[in-house]
Amino acid sequence: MTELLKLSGVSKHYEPHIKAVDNVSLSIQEGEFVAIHGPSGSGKTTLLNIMAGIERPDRGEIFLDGVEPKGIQDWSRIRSRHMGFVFQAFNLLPTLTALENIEIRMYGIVKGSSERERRALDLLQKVGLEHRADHKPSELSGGECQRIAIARALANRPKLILADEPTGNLDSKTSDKILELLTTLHRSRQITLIVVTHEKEIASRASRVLSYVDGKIISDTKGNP
Amino acid sequence: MYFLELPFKNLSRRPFRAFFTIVGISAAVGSFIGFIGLARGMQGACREILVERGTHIFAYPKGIVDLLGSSLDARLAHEIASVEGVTQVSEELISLMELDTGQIIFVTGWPLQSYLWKGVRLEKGRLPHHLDECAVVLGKNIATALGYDVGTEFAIRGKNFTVVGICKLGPMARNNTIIFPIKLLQELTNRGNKVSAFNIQIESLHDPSAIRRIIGELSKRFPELCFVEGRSVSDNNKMLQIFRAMAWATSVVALFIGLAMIINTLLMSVLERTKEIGILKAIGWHPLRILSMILLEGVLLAACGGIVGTLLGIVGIHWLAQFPQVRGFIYPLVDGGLIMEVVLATFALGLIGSIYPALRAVSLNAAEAIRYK
Repeated sequence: MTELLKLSGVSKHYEPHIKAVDNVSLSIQEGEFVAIHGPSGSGKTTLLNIMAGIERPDRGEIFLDGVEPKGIQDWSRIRSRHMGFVFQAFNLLPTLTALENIEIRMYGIVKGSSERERRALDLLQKVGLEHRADHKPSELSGGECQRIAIARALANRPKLILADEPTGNLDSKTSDKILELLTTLHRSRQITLIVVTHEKEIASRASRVLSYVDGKIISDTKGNP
Repeated sequence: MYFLELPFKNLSRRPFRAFFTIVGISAAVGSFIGFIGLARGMQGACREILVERGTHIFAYPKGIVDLLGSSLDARLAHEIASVEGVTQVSEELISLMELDTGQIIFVTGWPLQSYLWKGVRLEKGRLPHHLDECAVVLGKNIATALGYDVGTEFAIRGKNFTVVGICKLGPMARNNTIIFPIKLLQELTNRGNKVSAFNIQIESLHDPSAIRRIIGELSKRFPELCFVEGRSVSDNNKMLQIFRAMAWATSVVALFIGLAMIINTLLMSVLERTKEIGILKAIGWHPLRILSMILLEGVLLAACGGIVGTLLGIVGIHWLAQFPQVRGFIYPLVDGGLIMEVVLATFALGLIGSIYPALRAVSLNAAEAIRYK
Protein backbone atom coordinates (compact mmCIF):
# COMPACT_ATOMS: atom_id res chain seq x y z
CA MET A 1 0.00 0.00 0.00
CA THR A 2 1.18 3.53 -0.69
CA GLU A 3 1.06 6.42 1.71
CA LEU A 4 -1.79 8.80 0.94
CA LEU A 5 -1.67 11.23 3.82
CA LYS A 6 1.14 12.12 6.17
CA LEU A 7 1.14 14.53 9.08
CA SER A 8 4.46 15.46 10.61
CA GLY A 9 4.66 17.34 13.93
CA VAL A 10 1.36 19.13 13.34
CA SER A 11 0.11 21.46 16.08
CA LYS A 12 -2.81 23.81 16.38
CA HIS A 13 -3.42 25.87 19.49
CA TYR A 14 -6.34 28.11 20.32
CA GLU A 15 -6.14 30.97 22.78
CA PRO A 16 -5.22 30.91 25.54
CA HIS A 17 -3.95 27.40 26.27
CA ILE A 18 -6.15 25.01 24.31
CA LYS A 19 -4.10 22.49 22.39
CA ALA A 20 -6.54 21.11 19.80
CA VAL A 21 -3.75 19.34 17.94
CA ASP A 22 -0.50 18.83 19.78
CA ASN A 23 2.50 17.72 17.76
CA VAL A 24 0.64 14.99 15.90
CA SER A 25 2.49 12.79 13.42
CA LEU A 26 0.76 10.01 11.55
CA SER A 27 0.68 8.26 8.24
CA ILE A 28 -2.43 6.94 6.48
CA GLN A 29 -2.17 4.44 3.66
CA GLU A 30 -4.37 4.29 0.58
CA GLY A 31 -7.52 2.22 1.11
CA GLU A 32 -7.46 2.34 4.91
CA PHE A 33 -10.55 2.93 7.02
CA VAL A 34 -9.31 4.95 9.95
CA ALA A 35 -11.42 6.00 12.91
CA ILE A 36 -10.23 8.87 15.04
CA HIS A 37 -11.94 8.19 18.30
CA GLY A 38 -12.06 10.42 21.31
CA PRO A 39 -14.28 12.40 23.62
CA SER A 40 -16.05 15.61 22.62
CA GLY A 41 -13.77 18.64 22.73
CA SER A 42 -10.58 16.62 22.31
CA GLY A 43 -9.72 18.38 18.99
CA LYS A 44 -10.76 15.63 16.56
CA THR A 45 -12.62 17.99 14.22
CA THR A 46 -9.68 20.40 14.17
CA LEU A 47 -7.38 17.52 13.21
CA LEU A 48 -9.78 16.51 10.41
CA ASN A 49 -10.02 20.13 9.21
CA ILE A 50 -6.23 20.33 9.14
CA MET A 51 -6.07 17.11 7.09
CA ALA A 52 -8.47 18.74 4.60
CA GLY A 53 -6.66 22.07 4.56
CA ILE A 54 -9.74 23.84 5.89
CA GLU A 55 -7.69 24.97 8.87
CA ARG A 56 -3.99 25.74 8.77
CA PRO A 57 -1.77 24.29 11.51
CA ASP A 58 0.42 26.56 13.59
CA ARG A 59 3.28 24.13 13.10
CA GLY A 60 4.07 20.99 11.20
CA GLU A 61 3.73 19.66 7.68
CA ILE A 62 1.07 17.79 5.75
CA PHE A 63 1.77 15.68 2.68
CA LEU A 64 -0.75 14.24 0.24
CA ASP A 65 0.64 11.62 -2.11
CA GLY A 66 4.07 12.76 -0.97
CA VAL A 67 3.45 16.40 -1.95
CA GLU A 68 3.02 19.28 0.46
CA PRO A 69 0.17 21.55 -0.71
CA LYS A 70 0.98 25.25 -0.71
CA GLY A 71 -1.66 27.87 -0.19
CA ILE A 72 -5.41 28.12 -0.46
CA GLN A 73 -5.59 27.38 -4.18
CA ASP A 74 -3.66 24.12 -3.86
CA TRP A 75 -5.91 23.02 -1.03
CA SER A 76 -9.13 23.95 -2.80
CA ARG A 77 -7.96 21.97 -5.85
CA ILE A 78 -7.15 18.96 -3.67
CA ARG A 79 -10.46 19.16 -1.82
CA SER A 80 -12.43 19.40 -5.04
CA ARG A 81 -10.59 16.64 -6.93
CA HIS A 82 -9.25 14.21 -4.37
CA MET A 83 -11.27 14.58 -1.16
CA GLY A 84 -14.85 14.29 -0.09
CA PHE A 85 -16.13 15.79 3.13
CA VAL A 86 -19.08 14.52 5.17
CA PHE A 87 -20.21 16.73 8.03
CA GLN A 88 -22.13 15.92 11.18
CA ALA A 89 -24.77 18.57 10.33
CA PHE A 90 -24.93 17.44 6.66
CA ASN A 91 -24.26 21.03 5.49
CA LEU A 92 -26.35 20.88 2.34
CA LEU A 93 -27.32 24.17 0.73
CA PRO A 94 -30.94 24.75 1.75
CA THR A 95 -32.05 26.50 -1.47
CA LEU A 96 -30.85 23.74 -3.76
CA THR A 97 -32.43 20.39 -4.44
CA ALA A 98 -30.73 17.10 -3.60
CA LEU A 99 -29.60 16.79 -7.21
CA GLU A 100 -28.26 20.35 -7.37
CA ASN A 101 -26.41 19.92 -4.06
CA ILE A 102 -24.44 17.12 -5.67
CA GLU A 103 -24.01 18.91 -8.98
CA ILE A 104 -22.44 22.06 -7.52
CA ARG A 105 -19.46 20.05 -6.31
CA MET A 106 -18.65 19.15 -9.90
CA TYR A 107 -18.30 22.72 -11.23
CA GLY A 108 -14.95 23.14 -12.87
CA ILE A 109 -14.26 19.39 -12.74
CA VAL A 110 -17.00 17.81 -14.82
CA LYS A 111 -17.74 19.69 -18.01
CA GLY A 112 -21.28 20.11 -19.21
CA SER A 113 -24.48 20.53 -17.29
CA SER A 114 -26.03 17.32 -18.63
CA GLU A 115 -23.00 15.24 -17.68
CA ARG A 116 -23.03 16.70 -14.18
CA GLU A 117 -26.74 15.91 -13.90
CA ARG A 118 -26.23 12.37 -15.16
CA ARG A 119 -23.47 11.73 -12.64
CA ALA A 120 -25.47 13.27 -9.80
CA LEU A 121 -28.48 11.08 -10.63
CA ASP A 122 -26.20 8.07 -10.75
CA LEU A 123 -24.86 8.91 -7.29
CA LEU A 124 -28.37 9.46 -5.93
CA GLN A 125 -29.26 6.04 -7.23
CA LYS A 126 -26.23 4.56 -5.48
CA VAL A 127 -27.34 6.01 -2.15
CA GLY A 128 -30.92 4.95 -2.86
CA LEU A 129 -32.42 8.42 -3.19
CA GLU A 130 -33.06 8.87 -6.89
CA HIS A 131 -36.75 9.45 -6.11
CA ARG A 132 -35.78 12.42 -3.90
CA ALA A 133 -33.71 14.22 -6.56
CA ASP A 134 -35.95 17.28 -6.72
CA HIS A 135 -36.46 17.65 -3.00
CA LYS A 136 -34.80 20.34 -0.95
CA PRO A 137 -33.01 19.45 2.30
CA SER A 138 -35.91 20.81 4.37
CA GLU A 139 -38.15 18.15 2.78
CA LEU A 140 -35.80 15.30 3.63
CA SER A 141 -35.09 13.32 6.80
CA GLY A 142 -31.71 13.50 8.57
CA GLY A 143 -30.68 10.14 7.19
CA GLU A 144 -31.61 11.16 3.65
CA CYS A 145 -29.70 14.41 4.01
CA GLN A 146 -26.60 12.54 5.16
CA ARG A 147 -26.88 10.10 2.24
CA ILE A 148 -27.04 13.07 -0.12
CA ALA A 149 -24.02 14.57 1.65
CA ILE A 150 -22.19 11.26 1.05
CA ALA A 151 -23.25 11.31 -2.61
CA ARG A 152 -21.92 14.89 -2.82
CA ALA A 153 -18.63 13.77 -1.26
CA LEU A 154 -18.34 11.05 -3.92
CA ALA A 155 -19.16 13.36 -6.82
CA ASN A 156 -15.63 13.92 -8.09
CA ARG A 157 -14.54 10.34 -7.43
CA PRO A 158 -12.22 11.21 -4.54
CA LYS A 159 -9.42 9.02 -3.16
CA LEU A 160 -10.18 10.10 0.37
CA ILE A 161 -13.35 10.73 2.33
CA LEU A 162 -13.19 12.65 5.58
CA ALA A 163 -16.28 12.24 7.75
CA ASP A 164 -16.80 14.32 10.85
CA GLU A 165 -19.22 12.56 13.22
CA PRO A 166 -21.30 11.42 10.24
CA THR A 167 -23.94 9.81 12.44
CA GLY A 168 -23.91 12.40 15.22
CA ASN A 169 -27.31 13.83 14.27
CA LEU A 170 -29.01 10.52 13.45
CA ASP A 171 -30.91 7.84 15.36
CA SER A 172 -29.25 4.48 15.83
CA LYS A 173 -31.10 2.71 13.04
CA THR A 174 -30.27 5.42 10.51
CA SER A 175 -26.71 5.58 11.83
CA ASP A 176 -26.28 1.90 11.04
CA LYS A 177 -27.47 2.45 7.49
CA ILE A 178 -25.12 5.39 6.96
CA LEU A 179 -22.16 3.46 8.36
CA GLU A 180 -23.06 0.52 6.19
CA LEU A 181 -23.12 2.82 3.17
CA LEU A 182 -19.75 4.35 4.01
CA THR A 183 -18.21 0.93 4.67
CA THR A 184 -19.57 -0.45 1.41
CA LEU A 185 -18.24 2.51 -0.54
CA HIS A 186 -14.86 2.14 1.14
CA ARG A 187 -14.69 -1.52 0.20
CA SER A 188 -16.17 -1.36 -3.28
CA ARG A 189 -14.30 1.73 -4.46
CA GLN A 190 -11.13 1.33 -2.41
CA ILE A 191 -11.68 4.82 -1.03
CA THR A 192 -9.60 5.79 1.96
CA LEU A 193 -11.99 6.67 4.74
CA ILE A 194 -11.19 8.74 7.81
CA VAL A 195 -14.02 9.02 10.31
CA VAL A 196 -13.96 11.19 13.38
CA THR A 197 -16.26 9.88 16.09
CA HIS A 198 -16.82 9.71 19.79
CA GLU A 199 -18.88 6.50 19.46
CA LYS A 200 -17.10 3.21 20.10
CA GLU A 201 -19.47 1.22 17.88
CA ILE A 202 -18.49 3.25 14.86
CA ALA A 203 -14.80 3.07 15.68
CA SER A 204 -15.12 -0.69 15.99
CA ARG A 205 -15.96 -0.94 12.27
CA ALA A 206 -12.69 0.69 11.22
CA SER A 207 -9.55 -1.15 10.17
CA ARG A 208 -7.49 1.18 12.30
CA VAL A 209 -8.47 3.18 15.37
CA LEU A 210 -6.58 6.23 16.59
CA SER A 211 -7.51 7.17 20.13
CA TYR A 212 -7.34 10.89 20.46
CA VAL A 213 -7.34 12.81 23.72
CA ASP A 214 -6.43 16.45 24.36
CA GLY A 215 -4.88 16.94 20.96
CA LYS A 216 -2.70 13.82 21.07
CA ILE A 217 -2.95 10.37 19.57
CA ILE A 218 -2.61 8.16 22.60
CA SER A 219 -3.02 4.84 20.82
CA ASP A 220 -2.99 3.51 17.28
CA THR A 221 -4.59 0.07 17.02
CA LYS A 222 -5.62 -2.21 14.22
CA GLY A 223 -9.32 -2.97 14.16
CA ASN A 224 -11.40 -5.00 11.73
CA PRO A 225 -9.50 -5.96 8.60
CA MET B 1 -27.69 23.04 -13.33
CA TYR B 2 -25.59 25.73 -14.98
CA PHE B 3 -23.34 27.85 -12.79
CA LEU B 4 -25.16 30.93 -14.08
CA GLU B 5 -28.38 29.67 -12.49
CA LEU B 6 -26.91 29.96 -9.01
CA PRO B 7 -26.96 33.78 -8.77
CA PHE B 8 -30.67 33.69 -9.76
CA LYS B 9 -31.39 31.15 -7.06
CA ASN B 10 -29.39 33.07 -4.48
CA LEU B 11 -31.16 36.34 -5.20
CA SER B 12 -34.59 34.76 -5.38
CA ARG B 13 -34.34 33.44 -1.83
CA ARG B 14 -34.96 37.04 -0.66
CA PRO B 15 -37.35 38.19 -3.37
CA PHE B 16 -38.51 41.36 -1.62
CA ARG B 17 -34.99 42.52 -0.89
CA ALA B 18 -33.93 41.81 -4.46
CA PHE B 19 -37.07 43.52 -5.76
CA PHE B 20 -36.54 46.70 -3.78
CA THR B 21 -32.86 46.80 -4.70
CA ILE B 22 -33.88 46.54 -8.35
CA VAL B 23 -36.43 49.32 -7.80
CA GLY B 24 -33.67 51.49 -6.32
CA ILE B 25 -31.29 50.79 -9.19
CA SER B 26 -34.11 51.41 -11.67
CA ALA B 27 -34.76 54.79 -10.09
CA ALA B 28 -31.06 55.63 -10.31
CA VAL B 29 -30.78 54.51 -13.94
CA GLY B 30 -34.11 56.16 -14.82
CA SER B 31 -32.86 59.43 -13.33
CA PHE B 32 -29.62 59.08 -15.27
CA ILE B 33 -31.51 58.56 -18.52
CA GLY B 34 -33.91 61.37 -17.69
CA PHE B 35 -31.38 64.03 -16.72
CA ILE B 36 -28.79 63.23 -19.35
CA GLY B 37 -31.49 62.73 -22.01
CA LEU B 38 -32.90 66.16 -21.20
CA ALA B 39 -29.49 67.83 -21.19
CA ARG B 40 -28.67 66.31 -24.56
CA GLY B 41 -32.11 67.18 -25.87
CA MET B 42 -31.64 70.82 -24.90
CA GLN B 43 -28.22 70.83 -26.50
CA GLY B 44 -29.57 69.19 -29.65
CA ALA B 45 -32.49 71.61 -29.85
CA CYS B 46 -30.18 74.60 -29.44
CA ARG B 47 -27.97 73.30 -32.25
CA GLU B 48 -31.02 72.58 -34.40
CA ILE B 49 -32.42 76.08 -33.96
CA LEU B 50 -29.31 77.77 -35.28
CA VAL B 51 -28.83 75.27 -38.09
CA GLU B 52 -32.45 75.60 -39.17
CA ARG B 53 -32.35 79.37 -39.21
CA GLY B 54 -29.23 79.28 -41.37
CA THR B 55 -26.94 80.93 -38.83
CA HIS B 56 -23.36 79.96 -39.57
CA ILE B 57 -21.69 81.99 -36.84
CA PHE B 58 -23.31 83.19 -33.65
CA ALA B 59 -21.90 86.22 -31.83
CA TYR B 60 -22.57 87.18 -28.23
CA PRO B 61 -20.75 89.13 -25.51
CA LYS B 62 -17.78 87.46 -23.89
CA GLY B 63 -18.28 86.42 -20.28
CA ILE B 64 -22.07 86.33 -20.51
CA VAL B 65 -23.59 83.14 -19.14
CA ASP B 66 -27.20 84.00 -19.84
CA LEU B 67 -28.10 85.64 -23.16
CA LEU B 68 -31.14 87.23 -21.50
CA GLY B 69 -28.73 89.55 -19.72
CA SER B 70 -26.72 90.37 -22.81
CA SER B 71 -26.78 93.94 -24.16
CA LEU B 72 -24.89 94.88 -27.31
CA ASP B 73 -24.94 97.96 -29.51
CA ALA B 74 -27.02 97.12 -32.60
CA ARG B 75 -24.73 99.26 -34.77
CA LEU B 76 -22.03 96.61 -34.48
CA ALA B 77 -24.03 94.65 -37.06
CA HIS B 78 -22.81 96.93 -39.86
CA GLU B 79 -19.21 96.63 -38.74
CA ILE B 80 -19.47 92.85 -38.58
CA ALA B 81 -21.04 92.79 -42.04
CA SER B 82 -18.03 94.65 -43.39
CA VAL B 83 -15.66 91.76 -42.57
CA GLU B 84 -14.56 89.85 -45.65
CA GLY B 85 -16.49 86.62 -46.15
CA VAL B 86 -19.55 87.73 -44.12
CA THR B 87 -22.65 87.92 -46.29
CA GLN B 88 -25.43 88.76 -43.84
CA VAL B 89 -25.78 89.80 -40.23
CA SER B 90 -28.98 89.83 -38.24
CA GLU B 91 -29.43 91.35 -34.81
CA GLU B 92 -31.43 89.40 -32.26
CA LEU B 93 -32.92 90.49 -28.97
CA ILE B 94 -34.00 87.85 -26.49
CA SER B 95 -35.99 88.37 -23.32
CA LEU B 96 -38.46 86.85 -20.88
CA MET B 97 -41.68 88.79 -20.47
CA GLU B 98 -44.89 88.58 -18.53
CA LEU B 99 -48.12 88.91 -20.48
CA ASP B 100 -50.81 91.07 -18.93
CA THR B 101 -52.66 87.81 -18.31
CA GLY B 102 -49.79 86.66 -16.07
CA GLN B 103 -48.02 84.05 -18.18
CA ILE B 104 -44.24 84.31 -18.47
CA ILE B 105 -42.92 83.66 -21.95
CA PHE B 106 -39.78 83.82 -24.06
CA VAL B 107 -39.76 86.61 -26.61
CA THR B 108 -37.33 87.22 -29.40
CA GLY B 109 -36.96 90.10 -31.82
CA TRP B 110 -35.52 90.25 -35.34
CA PRO B 111 -35.28 93.11 -37.82
CA LEU B 112 -38.10 92.97 -40.38
CA GLN B 113 -35.59 92.52 -43.19
CA SER B 114 -33.62 89.78 -41.35
CA TYR B 115 -32.85 86.51 -43.11
CA LEU B 116 -34.00 84.77 -39.92
CA TRP B 117 -37.65 85.16 -40.94
CA LYS B 118 -37.00 82.90 -43.92
CA GLY B 119 -36.46 79.98 -41.55
CA VAL B 120 -39.88 80.42 -39.96
CA ARG B 121 -42.23 77.72 -41.23
CA LEU B 122 -45.68 79.17 -40.89
CA GLU B 123 -48.57 76.93 -40.04
CA LYS B 124 -51.08 79.74 -40.25
CA GLY B 125 -51.13 83.39 -41.20
CA ARG B 126 -48.21 85.46 -42.39
CA LEU B 127 -45.08 87.24 -41.23
CA PRO B 128 -45.16 90.86 -39.97
CA HIS B 129 -44.89 93.42 -42.80
CA HIS B 130 -44.30 96.70 -41.01
CA LEU B 131 -43.90 98.08 -37.52
CA ASP B 132 -47.19 100.00 -37.36
CA GLU B 133 -49.34 96.90 -37.34
CA CYS B 134 -47.75 95.71 -34.01
CA ALA B 135 -47.76 92.19 -35.44
CA VAL B 136 -46.09 89.16 -33.91
CA VAL B 137 -45.66 85.47 -34.77
CA LEU B 138 -46.31 82.82 -32.14
CA GLY B 139 -44.71 79.43 -31.80
CA LYS B 140 -47.23 76.62 -32.09
CA ASN B 141 -46.85 75.40 -28.52
CA ILE B 142 -47.19 78.77 -26.91
CA ALA B 143 -50.19 79.54 -29.15
CA THR B 144 -51.83 76.30 -28.00
CA ALA B 145 -50.93 76.90 -24.37
CA LEU B 146 -52.29 80.46 -24.44
CA GLY B 147 -55.25 79.58 -26.64
CA TYR B 148 -54.29 82.25 -29.19
CA ASP B 149 -54.88 82.08 -32.91
CA VAL B 150 -54.22 84.29 -35.90
CA GLY B 151 -56.01 87.56 -35.27
CA THR B 152 -55.89 87.31 -31.49
CA GLU B 153 -54.94 90.51 -29.73
CA PHE B 154 -53.08 90.51 -26.45
CA ALA B 155 -51.29 93.00 -24.25
CA ILE B 156 -47.84 93.25 -22.73
CA ARG B 157 -47.13 96.14 -20.39
CA GLY B 158 -50.33 97.78 -21.60
CA LYS B 159 -49.34 97.72 -25.28
CA ASN B 160 -51.52 95.72 -27.67
CA PHE B 161 -50.15 93.27 -30.21
CA THR B 162 -51.81 91.14 -32.87
CA VAL B 163 -50.98 87.56 -33.73
CA VAL B 164 -50.49 87.47 -37.52
CA GLY B 165 -48.86 84.07 -37.83
CA ILE B 166 -48.27 80.78 -36.04
CA CYS B 167 -45.06 78.80 -36.60
CA LYS B 168 -45.14 75.17 -37.57
CA LEU B 169 -43.55 72.50 -35.40
CA GLY B 170 -39.85 72.95 -35.38
CA PRO B 171 -37.13 73.35 -32.82
CA MET B 172 -38.01 73.93 -29.23
CA ALA B 173 -37.51 77.68 -28.89
CA ARG B 174 -39.54 78.46 -32.00
CA ASN B 175 -42.53 76.69 -30.52
CA ASN B 176 -42.44 78.51 -27.22
CA THR B 177 -41.46 81.96 -28.34
CA ILE B 178 -43.27 85.04 -29.51
CA ILE B 179 -41.31 86.54 -32.38
CA PHE B 180 -41.41 90.33 -32.62
CA PRO B 181 -39.99 92.77 -35.06
CA ILE B 182 -36.92 93.86 -33.10
CA LYS B 183 -37.86 97.56 -32.93
CA LEU B 184 -41.14 96.72 -31.18
CA LEU B 185 -39.34 94.52 -28.66
CA GLN B 186 -36.66 97.13 -28.01
CA GLU B 187 -39.37 99.69 -27.24
CA LEU B 188 -41.26 97.22 -25.10
CA THR B 189 -38.17 96.31 -23.05
CA ASN B 190 -36.73 99.82 -22.96
CA ARG B 191 -33.61 98.59 -24.70
CA GLY B 192 -33.49 101.03 -27.58
CA ASN B 193 -30.87 100.03 -30.14
CA LYS B 194 -29.65 97.19 -27.94
CA VAL B 195 -29.48 93.56 -28.99
CA SER B 196 -28.59 90.25 -27.31
CA ALA B 197 -26.61 88.61 -30.11
CA PHE B 198 -25.80 88.59 -33.81
CA ASN B 199 -26.59 85.84 -36.30
CA ILE B 200 -24.05 85.77 -39.09
CA GLN B 201 -24.08 84.10 -42.51
CA ILE B 202 -20.88 83.61 -44.46
CA GLU B 203 -19.86 82.70 -48.00
CA SER B 204 -17.71 79.60 -47.57
CA LEU B 205 -19.95 77.50 -45.37
CA HIS B 206 -18.40 74.19 -46.39
CA ASP B 207 -14.80 75.25 -46.09
CA PRO B 208 -13.69 74.72 -42.47
CA SER B 209 -10.49 76.68 -42.96
CA ALA B 210 -12.45 79.64 -44.33
CA ILE B 211 -14.83 79.49 -41.35
CA ARG B 212 -11.89 79.44 -38.98
CA ARG B 213 -10.31 82.35 -40.82
CA ILE B 214 -13.50 84.42 -40.65
CA ILE B 215 -14.03 83.60 -36.97
CA GLY B 216 -10.38 84.54 -36.33
CA GLU B 217 -10.79 87.83 -38.17
CA LEU B 218 -14.03 88.63 -36.35
CA SER B 219 -12.51 87.77 -32.99
CA LYS B 220 -9.58 90.08 -33.73
CA ARG B 221 -11.80 92.95 -34.82
CA PHE B 222 -14.33 92.53 -32.01
CA PRO B 223 -12.46 91.25 -28.94
CA GLU B 224 -15.43 91.99 -26.67
CA LEU B 225 -17.50 89.38 -28.57
CA CYS B 226 -17.44 85.63 -28.68
CA PHE B 227 -17.88 84.09 -32.15
CA VAL B 228 -18.95 80.47 -32.30
CA GLU B 229 -19.79 78.30 -35.28
CA GLY B 230 -23.57 77.75 -35.40
CA ARG B 231 -23.47 74.00 -34.87
CA SER B 232 -21.07 74.38 -31.89
CA VAL B 233 -23.08 77.00 -30.01
CA SER B 234 -24.79 74.39 -27.89
CA ASP B 235 -21.40 73.04 -26.80
CA ASN B 236 -20.21 76.50 -25.81
CA ASN B 237 -23.41 77.76 -24.26
CA LYS B 238 -22.68 78.37 -20.58
CA MET B 239 -26.28 77.83 -19.50
CA LEU B 240 -26.37 74.50 -21.27
CA GLN B 241 -22.98 73.63 -19.82
CA ILE B 242 -24.28 74.37 -16.33
CA PHE B 243 -27.43 72.37 -17.01
CA ARG B 244 -25.36 69.52 -18.37
CA ALA B 245 -23.03 69.62 -15.37
CA MET B 246 -26.00 69.61 -12.99
CA ALA B 247 -27.57 66.75 -14.88
CA TRP B 248 -24.34 64.77 -14.62
CA ALA B 249 -23.91 65.60 -10.95
CA THR B 250 -27.47 64.57 -10.13
CA SER B 251 -27.13 61.41 -12.17
CA VAL B 252 -23.87 60.49 -10.49
CA VAL B 253 -25.48 60.97 -7.07
CA ALA B 254 -28.37 58.75 -8.19
CA LEU B 255 -25.95 56.10 -9.43
CA PHE B 256 -24.03 56.25 -6.14
CA ILE B 257 -27.28 55.56 -4.30
CA GLY B 258 -27.79 52.57 -6.60
CA LEU B 259 -24.23 51.46 -5.87
CA ALA B 260 -24.79 51.71 -2.12
CA MET B 261 -27.94 49.62 -2.47
CA ILE B 262 -26.08 46.88 -4.33
CA ILE B 263 -23.28 46.85 -1.76
CA ASN B 264 -25.75 46.75 1.11
CA THR B 265 -27.86 43.98 -0.45
CA LEU B 266 -24.90 41.80 -1.30
CA LEU B 267 -23.14 42.37 2.02
CA MET B 268 -26.29 41.28 3.84
CA SER B 269 -26.60 38.34 1.51
CA VAL B 270 -22.98 37.30 2.09
CA LEU B 271 -23.43 37.67 5.85
CA GLU B 272 -26.56 35.53 5.79
CA ARG B 273 -24.79 32.92 3.70
CA THR B 274 -21.60 32.80 5.76
CA LYS B 275 -22.14 29.15 6.61
CA GLU B 276 -23.01 28.24 3.02
CA ILE B 277 -19.92 29.99 1.69
CA GLY B 278 -17.90 28.06 4.25
CA ILE B 279 -19.46 24.82 2.98
CA LEU B 280 -18.63 25.71 -0.62
CA LYS B 281 -15.04 26.34 0.39
CA ALA B 282 -14.92 23.09 2.34
CA ILE B 283 -16.18 21.05 -0.60
CA GLY B 284 -13.43 22.52 -2.75
CA TRP B 285 -14.83 25.51 -4.56
CA HIS B 286 -12.01 27.65 -5.88
CA PRO B 287 -11.96 31.17 -4.35
CA LEU B 288 -12.41 32.61 -7.86
CA ARG B 289 -15.63 30.63 -8.27
CA ILE B 290 -17.03 32.07 -5.05
CA LEU B 291 -15.88 35.53 -6.16
CA SER B 292 -17.54 35.18 -9.54
CA MET B 293 -20.79 33.91 -7.99
CA ILE B 294 -21.12 37.09 -5.88
CA LEU B 295 -19.99 39.33 -8.75
CA LEU B 296 -22.62 37.74 -10.98
CA GLU B 297 -25.27 38.41 -8.37
CA GLY B 298 -24.28 42.08 -8.39
CA VAL B 299 -24.23 42.28 -12.17
CA LEU B 300 -27.59 40.49 -12.32
CA LEU B 301 -29.17 42.94 -9.87
CA ALA B 302 -27.72 45.87 -11.80
CA ALA B 303 -28.79 44.43 -15.15
CA CYS B 304 -32.41 43.99 -14.01
CA GLY B 305 -32.40 47.50 -12.53
CA GLY B 306 -30.73 48.82 -15.66
CA ILE B 307 -33.30 47.35 -18.04
CA VAL B 308 -36.28 48.50 -15.97
CA GLY B 309 -34.66 51.88 -15.30
CA THR B 310 -33.87 52.49 -18.96
CA LEU B 311 -37.45 51.73 -19.97
CA LEU B 312 -38.80 53.87 -17.14
CA GLY B 313 -36.43 56.70 -18.03
CA ILE B 314 -37.36 56.70 -21.71
CA VAL B 315 -41.09 56.40 -21.08
CA GLY B 316 -40.91 58.87 -18.19
CA ILE B 317 -39.25 61.79 -19.95
CA HIS B 318 -41.35 61.39 -23.08
CA TRP B 319 -44.44 61.30 -20.91
CA LEU B 320 -43.33 64.41 -19.01
CA ALA B 321 -42.58 66.19 -22.27
CA GLN B 322 -46.24 65.85 -23.27
CA PHE B 323 -47.53 68.06 -20.45
CA PRO B 324 -48.68 71.46 -21.72
CA GLN B 325 -46.74 73.19 -18.92
CA VAL B 326 -43.43 71.88 -20.22
CA ARG B 327 -44.20 71.00 -23.81
CA GLY B 328 -41.46 72.41 -25.94
CA PHE B 329 -39.35 73.47 -22.96
CA ILE B 330 -38.04 69.99 -22.41
CA TYR B 331 -36.82 68.10 -25.38
CA PRO B 332 -35.82 64.52 -24.54
CA LEU B 333 -33.10 62.89 -26.57
CA VAL B 334 -32.40 59.23 -25.78
CA ASP B 335 -30.22 57.80 -28.50
CA GLY B 336 -28.13 54.67 -28.92
CA GLY B 337 -25.11 56.42 -27.47
CA LEU B 338 -26.90 57.24 -24.24
CA ILE B 339 -28.29 53.73 -23.95
CA MET B 340 -24.79 52.32 -24.47
CA GLU B 341 -23.50 54.62 -21.73
CA VAL B 342 -26.28 53.38 -19.44
CA VAL B 343 -25.44 49.75 -20.22
CA LEU B 344 -21.77 50.35 -19.40
CA ALA B 345 -22.58 52.40 -16.29
CA THR B 346 -24.98 49.72 -15.05
CA PHE B 347 -22.50 46.94 -15.68
CA ALA B 348 -19.83 48.90 -13.83
CA LEU B 349 -22.32 49.59 -11.03
CA GLY B 350 -23.01 45.90 -10.55
CA LEU B 351 -19.37 44.94 -10.75
CA ILE B 352 -18.05 47.68 -8.45
CA GLY B 353 -20.93 47.21 -6.02
CA SER B 354 -20.23 43.52 -5.66
CA ILE B 355 -16.43 43.60 -5.42
CA TYR B 356 -16.30 44.32 -1.68
CA PRO B 357 -18.99 41.77 -0.71
CA ALA B 358 -17.32 39.21 -3.00
CA LEU B 359 -13.93 39.80 -1.42
CA ARG B 360 -15.53 39.48 2.02
CA ALA B 361 -16.97 36.14 0.96
CA VAL B 362 -13.65 34.90 -0.40
CA SER B 363 -11.75 35.97 2.70
CA LEU B 364 -14.05 34.05 5.06
CA ASN B 365 -12.32 31.38 7.09
CA ALA B 366 -13.98 28.14 5.98
CA ALA B 367 -13.75 26.42 9.37
CA GLU B 368 -15.23 29.41 11.20
CA ALA B 369 -17.83 29.97 8.48
CA ILE B 370 -19.08 26.39 8.76
CA ARG B 371 -19.57 26.87 12.50
CA TYR B 372 -21.42 30.18 11.90
CA LYS B 373 -25.04 30.23 13.06
